[in-house]
Amino acid sequence: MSLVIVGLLIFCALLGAPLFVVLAAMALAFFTMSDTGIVVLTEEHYKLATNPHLITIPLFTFAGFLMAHSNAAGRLVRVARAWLGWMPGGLAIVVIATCAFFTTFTGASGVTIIALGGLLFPMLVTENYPEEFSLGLITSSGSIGLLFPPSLPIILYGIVAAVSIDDLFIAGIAPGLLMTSVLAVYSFFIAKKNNVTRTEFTWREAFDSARAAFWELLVPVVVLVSIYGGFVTIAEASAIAAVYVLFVEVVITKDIKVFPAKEDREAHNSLFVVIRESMVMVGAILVILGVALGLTNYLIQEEVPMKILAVIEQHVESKIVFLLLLTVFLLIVGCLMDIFSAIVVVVPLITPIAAEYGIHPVHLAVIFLANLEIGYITPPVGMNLFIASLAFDRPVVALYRMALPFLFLLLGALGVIVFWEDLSLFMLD
Amino acid sequence: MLDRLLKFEEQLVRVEAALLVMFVLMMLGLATYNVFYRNVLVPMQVNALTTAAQEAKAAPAQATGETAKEEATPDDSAGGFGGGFGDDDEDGAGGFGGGFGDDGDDAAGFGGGFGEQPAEEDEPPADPVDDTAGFGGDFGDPDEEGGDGSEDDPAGGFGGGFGGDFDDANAVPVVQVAPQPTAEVKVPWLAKVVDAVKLEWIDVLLRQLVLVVGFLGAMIAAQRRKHITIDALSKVLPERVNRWVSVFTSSLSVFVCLVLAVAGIDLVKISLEFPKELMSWADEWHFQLAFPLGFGLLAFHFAIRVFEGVMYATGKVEPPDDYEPMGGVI
Repeated sequence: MSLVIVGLLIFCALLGAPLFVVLAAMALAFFTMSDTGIVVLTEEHYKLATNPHLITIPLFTFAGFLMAHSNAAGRLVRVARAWLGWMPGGLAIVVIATCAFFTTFTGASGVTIIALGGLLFPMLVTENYPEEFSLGLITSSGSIGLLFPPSLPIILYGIVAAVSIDDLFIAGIAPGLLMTSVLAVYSFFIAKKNNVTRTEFTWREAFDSARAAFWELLVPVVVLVSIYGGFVTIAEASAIAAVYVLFVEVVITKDIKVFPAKEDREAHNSLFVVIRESMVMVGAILVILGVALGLTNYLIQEEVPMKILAVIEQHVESKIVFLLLLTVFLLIVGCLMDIFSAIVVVVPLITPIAAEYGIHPVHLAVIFLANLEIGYITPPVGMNLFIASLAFDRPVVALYRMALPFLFLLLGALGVIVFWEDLSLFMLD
Repeated sequence: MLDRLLKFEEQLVRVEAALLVMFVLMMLGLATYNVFYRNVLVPMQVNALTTAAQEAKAAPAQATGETAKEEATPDDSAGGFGGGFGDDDEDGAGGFGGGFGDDGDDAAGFGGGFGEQPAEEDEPPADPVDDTAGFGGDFGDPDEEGGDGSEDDPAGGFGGGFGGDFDDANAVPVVQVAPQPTAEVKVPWLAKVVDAVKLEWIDVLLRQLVLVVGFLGAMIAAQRRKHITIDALSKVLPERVNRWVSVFTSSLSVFVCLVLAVAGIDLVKISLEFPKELMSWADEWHFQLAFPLGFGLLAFHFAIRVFEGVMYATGKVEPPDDYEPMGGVI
């Protein structure tokens, strides 16, 4: 009976029913069958209000959207170009760096490809980069910054899995750098082969561009120093980041208008619009998180993770085989679901199982996030492929092919991340 | 008919968006105030108090130690204040139990349902059946203070974060033992001012606001078909079929949201029976009203999607050019 219901509801999900509806329906069905009052569902949802980290989700998202809706992208690209553009493959590295920066703050919601793609793609093509390479690069860079602090998926993972967010932030840095540098090295060779144009390094432009983007460049510094300098908690850091970016974009650069002219009320850069759009995303995440808590409550109560574990244990003995299976499973998940729902739904199920196999919870988090990052560009339904297909008006099948080399490279990096535990853990105490 | 409904919805969304923006701005303001209070005013107060204590030479050794207890009242608002946003406990393995337990009301509730294994993961793997969830979380806390001490240091132990944790560990008696230092040390005016502007309800309110903001955002997402979906199949199905599929999925959404709204009413009813004061001017159920209202309005938005979908699918009304039955990708 339960299996039939789960099957039907998964079918509904594949048909496009909102995920929170599917999860809530599952929980409702289970609770009704076990004669538990459905009020448990809202009770669990309401318990979110006792979580001290929850507020970081709207505040960091708001900060990210503020930057995405301002001209920060242009300024950051300019500064990255002035400083890195002289290298062979410099512009491609610029793409990787700026995309990583934006994804970190917007949580790979597709905002990066939309906000930066239109700007970066023409630049790449004029500088002689092959078109296929350029599109593939932008598509796969669209989720590249997920492992860097203060990325939203990390925070959500910390909340759901009860792992210290401070630790996760630190643990993600080295694996994140590995993934970005793999792409950078590849870009270097492609650039050599195609004799791309390079921008000349001049101190003047380097200085000017840095001055123009100075305040935005400081954002990560402000966040990281305030957290790791021991001044404030992560929740407070999110408030500081939001207010700081608001101040920068409204008062200093004046990109975001608080009181736009009447006809510009719905303009991209009106503060009202920025707040609304960021909170639409937050709302979509929080409602999933809320109902998923009810479902999780049921699953834990019924010891579902342990039952799954019992089955797996019969077939899998070694940690290595388990890690391989986990990776394949997570790649499929990452391909089907967006990262936020994947965290909320899958993490409570796999954490107890992974613990049985002796996987460090922080390492598991890094494996999880790295997998989902790659899931975004995994055919046939990786989300970045579709977003890029819309944004650049190319058939999605063409993008499969263009993203393929990047997919393989990232999979290689993933292998290192999965099997080299210390890469994630060496900076932790 | 459809036109009018859509226009009405448009107006409704405008109201929702206005409320949403207002709440977000409020959240920003309050959060900023809290940061300022905890990181600027409180250290200033500590400074003033220690200076005063030194001058009075009343109890040089204990003065700061004792002031530490001042804020840690057993009620959970102290958890809020003490912890700032309460997350001093995010460092250790017990972070979850600690975090959720922070509120003091039922540490075991959440832990039991959700976080029990993770709460102990640094130790040998936890037995998931073991019901010590809240427990694990609680015990984690005191250790964490050690690791995370940097955060409390500027506050000189002046309750910066201790409130929540003591509260958690049910160590209330300990907290109350200490006498108020005011008896022996003349409290400088600055310290009094800082105490006077302490708004311990801010944290509680902030957390409730996040939920409300979430609902409002979800409503707008429902209007624009921007809820997160998997919809792998819709990408391969022809547009005609997709129109009917969207009618079906929206109907399912209406149904589920209505049931959730009923569950929300139940939640409010329970809280009315056992009222719990969150802050001096609001009880828990005031905020819990967000559930019946939120899910009710979500159901309403989805109902309009159903109606709209039927009209477009049957061809009675020509859909606008940008109509996408399954919603955009982003």
